[in-house]
Amino acid sequence: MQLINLSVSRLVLHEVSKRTDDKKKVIPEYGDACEVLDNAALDALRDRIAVAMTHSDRCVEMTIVNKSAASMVALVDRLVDHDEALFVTDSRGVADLLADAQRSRAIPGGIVVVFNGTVGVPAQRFIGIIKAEVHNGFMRELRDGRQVLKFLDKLLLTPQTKLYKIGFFLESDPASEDLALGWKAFIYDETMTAKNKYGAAQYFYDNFLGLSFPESSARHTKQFHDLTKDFIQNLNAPEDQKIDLHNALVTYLRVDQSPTVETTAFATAYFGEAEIRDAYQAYMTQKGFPDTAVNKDLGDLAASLKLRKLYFRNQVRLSGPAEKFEKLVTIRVVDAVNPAQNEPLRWTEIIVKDQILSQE
Amino acid sequence: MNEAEFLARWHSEKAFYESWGRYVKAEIERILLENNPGLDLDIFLKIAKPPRSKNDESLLDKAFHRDKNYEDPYLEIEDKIGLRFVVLLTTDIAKLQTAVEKSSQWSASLDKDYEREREARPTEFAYQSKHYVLKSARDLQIDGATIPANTPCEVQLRTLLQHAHSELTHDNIYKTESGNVVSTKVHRTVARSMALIEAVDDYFELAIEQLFEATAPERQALKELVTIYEARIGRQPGLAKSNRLVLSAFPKFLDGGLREKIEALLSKFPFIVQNIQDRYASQHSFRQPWILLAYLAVQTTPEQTQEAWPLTPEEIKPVYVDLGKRWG
Repeated sequence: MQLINLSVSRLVLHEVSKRTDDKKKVIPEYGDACEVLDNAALDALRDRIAVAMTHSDRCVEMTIVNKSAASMVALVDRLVDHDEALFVTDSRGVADLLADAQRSRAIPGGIVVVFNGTVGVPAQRFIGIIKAEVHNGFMRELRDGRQVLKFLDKLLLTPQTKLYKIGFFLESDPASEDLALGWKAFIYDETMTAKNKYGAAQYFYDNFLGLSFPESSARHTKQFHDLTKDFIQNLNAPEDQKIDLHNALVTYLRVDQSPTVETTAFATAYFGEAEIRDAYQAYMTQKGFPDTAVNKDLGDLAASLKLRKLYFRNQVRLSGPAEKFEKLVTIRVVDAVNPAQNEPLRWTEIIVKDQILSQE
Repeated sequence: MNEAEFLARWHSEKAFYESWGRYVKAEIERILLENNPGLDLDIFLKIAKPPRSKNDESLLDKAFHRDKNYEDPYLEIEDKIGLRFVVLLTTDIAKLQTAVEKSSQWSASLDKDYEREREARPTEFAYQSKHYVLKSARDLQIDGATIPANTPCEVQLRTLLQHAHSELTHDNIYKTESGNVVSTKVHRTVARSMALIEAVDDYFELAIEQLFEATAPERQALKELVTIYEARIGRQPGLAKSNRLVLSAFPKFLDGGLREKIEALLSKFPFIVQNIQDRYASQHSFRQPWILLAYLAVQTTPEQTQEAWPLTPEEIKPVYVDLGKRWG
């Protein structure tokens, strides 16, 4: 998502433990005041949030499904109007919801960071929730005039993005009666992969935040495919390179393990030149493709991804299984041999790595 | 006047001659700065030496033993105290000359002028330097001493290369005792090196000119950035060397329309102005005019900007975060 002009104002920390051996909930340790951070610390925090949520293929816009009085979005809706004292006390509810949601002992405890602020132009209010697992590390410290190594056993929010998950509620329409319309919700979860998309992180986005993956995923995935295809087709590049890029698009959608499709991720992986990456992202934004990652859903694309098709001006057609196309066929653009006037100057050399099965 | 009388007078007057030399140096430097605002004397003057008074031996030598035919050697020796300014370029010499000739504290006569000598003897390549003799215009009170009118001070102006040539030859050739024969071969070699030096001085000048021309768009853009910074941020921007690095890394943005593009960006995202103001006191990079170009470059072409970024990532990352663009 686009987190332009991100500014964090309040920040409260609570600690949630994993369940006891008999799976009983442990009451969280509540923080009793807002943290006071200097500029450098605030910049680092902003950086963590931005790295996670900005043009990341692990950040997805979600649909708000649980809108009950006890739901996260209802709590968020109250928190956003609170003064500092009430913000601190009521943010405990976030820790309680997480303690409730972590039903399995396999889910580690961690620090829950509840923060608010504004983002965008004009600025919109948001409530953010980070679940950060603690890990350990060392730091050098001056003690009695000499440098000593100090062990830190409760380190959190280091640049190790695997160790935190973020829920982000953006106020989109303060006047709306329906909380699902009044707020937009996003999650970031580095551990989300194609396979466990609906598994491991479910306690976080579903039980805890009350969200689900949006139903528009299939439509958006198809839109991504169609727009990217057009962009490649219109690219001012040699045909050879376009063949590779078309193959790459199929690979990205069908083979790549990423649980989402996202313009920056595709651009970084397949466009070598920064200039093309910039142009591609500008094009996708201009065409209205979401600036968040989109849950990868090939439902609407199954047919078009099955076959890779090439059409030639002289009515020759070539088609083959899209997934393995680049392995089955090699294609090369070559200079035409003694072309007559008005005949093309370039030919295409195709090698099919098999014998002919039948002819008509 | 015999040698003893000569020395006695010199010893009694040496102190005010030295005050006079220091005064001339300070005055020339003051006028230089006045004429050329922003000039860094530490860079401009390549060799910084205090005024030098002649030692007794070389004074006596010059006064009585070199067939100079002085009527009054004490008064006629005008380099009892001397100053030397060494600069890089021949155009720098011109700046010095203006300063030397401008002061009303003295009268200046150009006693040795390499340009005039070149015109007079176009086929000869010999020792080149500009020698002025300055004479105090009236009685002056300096450092508690009275400098009488007409006290001389010699001022030499040279380029670094002319200086190098002179270091090589001065003691070896021009000050040779009469009768000491320097072979024509050596003269020929020295003349060849002088010819080369004259050519190189010209090339230096040309190189500086070409450099100046090549960086014209950058200097123009920096001027515009400073103007916008002052107007919109309302503070005085810094002028660290990083500005040149950043500007030269993004030539595409320096062509026309830079100002309009930045103004449009600041109007669209007023928070940029606010953020620069908030960080002005604590972050060096936000005090540099290039920060405005950085916001424009990151907003329009984030990927290319990351590739071309000439400074450390830490200096540009906050801009990416502000604009919601991805770094890395």
